[in-house]
Amino acid sequence: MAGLVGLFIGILCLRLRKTYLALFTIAFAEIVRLAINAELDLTGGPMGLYLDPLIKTTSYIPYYYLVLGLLLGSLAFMYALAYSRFGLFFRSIREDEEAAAAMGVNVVRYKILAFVVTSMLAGLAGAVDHHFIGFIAPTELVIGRMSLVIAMAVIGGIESLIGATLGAIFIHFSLEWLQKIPIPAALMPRIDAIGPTLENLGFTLTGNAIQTNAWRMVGFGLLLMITLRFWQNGLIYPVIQRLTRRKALEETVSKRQASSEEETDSQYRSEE
Amino acid sequence: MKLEVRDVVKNFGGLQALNHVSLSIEKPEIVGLIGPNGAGKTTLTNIIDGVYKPTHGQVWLNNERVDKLPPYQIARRGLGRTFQVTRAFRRMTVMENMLVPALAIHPGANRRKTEQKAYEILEYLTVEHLANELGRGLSGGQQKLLELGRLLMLDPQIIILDEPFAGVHPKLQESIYNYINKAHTEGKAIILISHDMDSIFTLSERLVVLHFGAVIADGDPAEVKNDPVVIEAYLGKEEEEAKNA
Repeated sequence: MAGLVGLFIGILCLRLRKTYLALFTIAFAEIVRLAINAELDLTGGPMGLYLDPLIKTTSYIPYYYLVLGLLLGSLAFMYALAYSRFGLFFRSIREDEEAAAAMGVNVVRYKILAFVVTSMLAGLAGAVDHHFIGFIAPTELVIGRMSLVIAMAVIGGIESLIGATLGAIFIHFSLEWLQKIPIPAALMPRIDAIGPTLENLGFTLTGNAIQTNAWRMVGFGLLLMITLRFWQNGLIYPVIQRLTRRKALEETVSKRQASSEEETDSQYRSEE
Repeated sequence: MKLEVRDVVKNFGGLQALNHVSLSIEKPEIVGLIGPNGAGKTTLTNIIDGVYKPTHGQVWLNNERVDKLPPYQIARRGLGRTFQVTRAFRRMTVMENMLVPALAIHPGANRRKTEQKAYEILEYLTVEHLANELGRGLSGGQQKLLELGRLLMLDPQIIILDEPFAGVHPKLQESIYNYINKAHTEGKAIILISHDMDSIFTLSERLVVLHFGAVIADGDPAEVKNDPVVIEAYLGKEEEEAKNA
């Protein structure tokens, strides 16, 4: 289903580039959201729909393995795709559409294919997610939700699948952690003193913690902007790169040492 | 091989970039295409390559009309080009750059064999040690060589080289000279666009001069060089500029 929608959107916005493409997809999501809001009979409108659970159990364990399996499956699929000739064509189009076309790449076909594949994966994720939660509503389609997905990819590293996956994990966990900032008991009196100011700013005080409410999103917005400005490869991918490179360096160094030892050995022998 | 540009007009809004241009290449020759800035050289390249559609007129490649086809179809029919500003795929390795055209035009090609061929071409261009570097890590001249290598992987019959010598280190220029001569002896036709008159006159067997979007001369380089119209329009102007400078 999602693949077909992707095919449709892909064909529609073929001629659009960069910013215009982004604006179009946002506008499309808004249209869908409003349509779902208005269509009470089919979708429940703003009240949403209750969905049957995918697995009839109250335990999280089966879901855990299901999602883990899906994650590994889609990663394997994406890696296979990225390193196949299709991946080469996708990347060449990303780098320079005109040059790719001049090299014989059917730009139109691969662009649509990219839309279809990514829509299918997003659709799969959405279906599993909401059958797990048991509820779906058009609020899923607000820009904030979509921005979070983009933030996952950008902060993780847009050129790396592992980076993006770690980015998603990082953002999900920090979203949960940042819901409230625990305050040590010793600091509580001071916090209570500025309590009204904090509440005016949109925080709420509950017991011994500050509820951050919408402010955590502001934090992510800032992080996203800073990342895009200074680290276009994301925050996580460069770390992975550095680690793997150091390992490779160590290997070559030890190989060189080994070979130079051999050389000196043979020199000694020839001198003898 | 046969490339025919028939009476092509290209307008951009009110600006006429090409004014009834006709040009025909029927044998493996090196054709120099010159003209002052804004004369329409790159526009003509983009028309032949299919990036632009002509306002009027037709382009024929091997007895097939191609001016309505998208660029990738024209590339698959044996026309390859480089760009005035190099357009290596920057976040892909040199080897990956080389693989794109070969795998695009031969969907069933064996990847390892293709890599082998790519490596041989890189060796010929003396840049095989860069095979695993990213495109953006190369110098300007190396990027030009990479573009030429990609062209060989496409294996076109007709090659359009847009300013292949611009900003290239003299050492690498020699590689590009050799490349052009080799492609020529292998039976490819080459359209050479350059501001570098020395290389144009050394390499070209035929010279076409564009001026304000029209072909004002087409023939033997020595004759074209002495054509009063050409001197007036192009070479003379340079002399004047030289005097003024």
